[in-house]
Amino acid sequence: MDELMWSVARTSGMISLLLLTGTLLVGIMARSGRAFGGLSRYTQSLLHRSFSLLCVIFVMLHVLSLLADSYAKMQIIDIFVPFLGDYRPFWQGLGTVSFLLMIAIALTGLLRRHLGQRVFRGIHLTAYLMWPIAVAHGLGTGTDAGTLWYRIVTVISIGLVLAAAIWRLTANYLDHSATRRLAREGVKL
Amino acid sequence: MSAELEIDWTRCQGRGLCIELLAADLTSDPWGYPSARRADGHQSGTVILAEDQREAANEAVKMCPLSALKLRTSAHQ
Amino acid sequence: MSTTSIPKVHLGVLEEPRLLAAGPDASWSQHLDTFGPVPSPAEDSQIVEQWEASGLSGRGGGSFPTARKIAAVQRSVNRTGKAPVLIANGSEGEPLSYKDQMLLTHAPHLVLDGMELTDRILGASERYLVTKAGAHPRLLQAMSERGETSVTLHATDSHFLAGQATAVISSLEGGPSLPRHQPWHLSDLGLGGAPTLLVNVETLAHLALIARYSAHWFRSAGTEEDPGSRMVSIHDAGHYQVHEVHGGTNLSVLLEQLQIPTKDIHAVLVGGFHGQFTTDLDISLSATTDAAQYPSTLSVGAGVLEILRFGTCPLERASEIVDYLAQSSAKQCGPCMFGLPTLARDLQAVARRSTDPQLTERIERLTQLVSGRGACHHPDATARLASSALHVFDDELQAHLSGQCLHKF
Repeated sequence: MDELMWSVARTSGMISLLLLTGTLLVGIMARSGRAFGGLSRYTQSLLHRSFSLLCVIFVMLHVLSLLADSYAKMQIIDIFVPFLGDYRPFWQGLGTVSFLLMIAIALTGLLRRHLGQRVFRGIHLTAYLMWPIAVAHGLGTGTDAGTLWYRIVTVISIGLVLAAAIWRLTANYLDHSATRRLAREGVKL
Repeated sequence: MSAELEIDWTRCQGRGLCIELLAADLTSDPWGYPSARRADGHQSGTVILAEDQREAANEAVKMCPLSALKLRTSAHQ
Repeated sequence: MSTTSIPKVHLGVLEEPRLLAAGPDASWSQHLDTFGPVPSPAEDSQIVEQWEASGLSGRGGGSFPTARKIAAVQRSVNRTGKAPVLIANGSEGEPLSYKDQMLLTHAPHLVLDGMELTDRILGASERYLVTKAGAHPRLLQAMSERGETSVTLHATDSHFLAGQATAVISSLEGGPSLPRHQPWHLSDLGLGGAPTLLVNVETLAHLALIARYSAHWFRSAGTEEDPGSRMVSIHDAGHYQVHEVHGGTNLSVLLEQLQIPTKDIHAVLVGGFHGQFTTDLDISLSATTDAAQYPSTLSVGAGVLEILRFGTCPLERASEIVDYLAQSSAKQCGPCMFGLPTLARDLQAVARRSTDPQLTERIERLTQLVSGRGACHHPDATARLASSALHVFDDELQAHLSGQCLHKF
């Protein structure tokens, strides 16, 4: 039974990480307001939402299977308070931190229309913090972290997210940024 | 009875999702913001939609990333 | 409504001042000597009737019938049971307007009387008097003279849009003094969600006079369509004047009276920066905005006139104003934030005699594009001013498009 739980925890952890990376990448893509070939803005939004909801489900599975696994020695309190665990408390604590951030992002996302745009946006932006913490958690305490394929997947993910983040910061990231820039210049002195 | 799309222009940032979903009624202005295709489409901040667009409009309201849209039923026309 | 068949010939400046009848810097005792005390509460129902019969329209620029505005708040109060809020708006964001400041300096008691009466009739829970920062000392003095303690003075910003109704509400709620998205009426949902009556300070002063002297008296000035009097701010070649004039007055008669020779005048901007140009001076300045019904009438808005004399290029002036308006955008709504600077640039190109053949068509398209697409009417009014310039100054426009100017050689 413990073995089954352990393998569910491993697998769901890895899938969560991939889904999280996917959510972040599609999110950055959608934020630009651009359509990408077959990916309309609407499709991007749907993908962003579906990936993130799936990610929440797999993280739940990850956490629950670890609770059920007696070898993992995880207590309920470890889900909500980081760095208290018996097994690699720091790396497990990073998992708790990113879990809490994820819950906050998911809830404010669902309640977006009832919260102010500021609250929603402020919390949503912590996704940029949550992703590297989750990646570090995986590298630090993941059972497969030492394997070559895990490292390759991680390096590719980091590369993609970095590239997207850099693109996000460039002047032409937003659709219509050229016409908006021109308009903002106003009259010629 | 027709549907009216109420746009909170202070929220809208022109991401263009509604323009895609309501292509029959909306087009993009030069800066990416939704603009009524019909000349008389804008009435004090709202856009009048064709009747068969209600479902698409509901989806646009739900998916607008800035929560800038609302759907109103009006007695216009 | 009036049964008299004799046409009214009241034109130009009022023979006897009304709002400023108590004289400059009128003190509480001068005010009482001139106008007497406000009518007693026993007369409240007659006062409401008189306000309705007066046909007074808002003097803040919107020209909405004031009695209807008050009635809407009353209905909302009856429906919701919520105590209403009264806001006297003297924030006067328009840079060419001085009349509210003038009124608050010289006739503060009339404004406070108007607040006292509307407050009494509505049963307001909170009363605010909103002004531009700087107009306070005289008001504080006036309030202490009459022992008024229930009015909260609030200084708002002095930028162009700060006087806009929802910007005033936002400022009072502690937010920025910028317009808000407000698809409902303030009478239903205003300050803090309460039914709110927001009226211009001059409107309140008129209400105080009508309550004392009747609607019939009020209507003895002005015209049938635009009864009563109004304050106008006139800007002529760097000189400013404020006068109390008859409603619906003929523009050229007014200018002759003020010894501004009409032969030197090329055009007048009527209604301030949110107004329209006219080269025809034989028009009446009115509250109405219905150009179809009253073709020889221009809406005077908040009562601002700017004289454009021969020798200055009106297209250059229009370009300056549109640039000012573009910079005054709250930069909250995309079409305004990006559309107005684009419009300003194209209009500047016209002013600089660009021969780009697509220019006018582009401006027309831009004016249509920005209209109706914002939380407030700033883009609409800016577009209207720009297209008014192109239509009224068509000769100048054609000259500019061929590289010439009719006013500068």
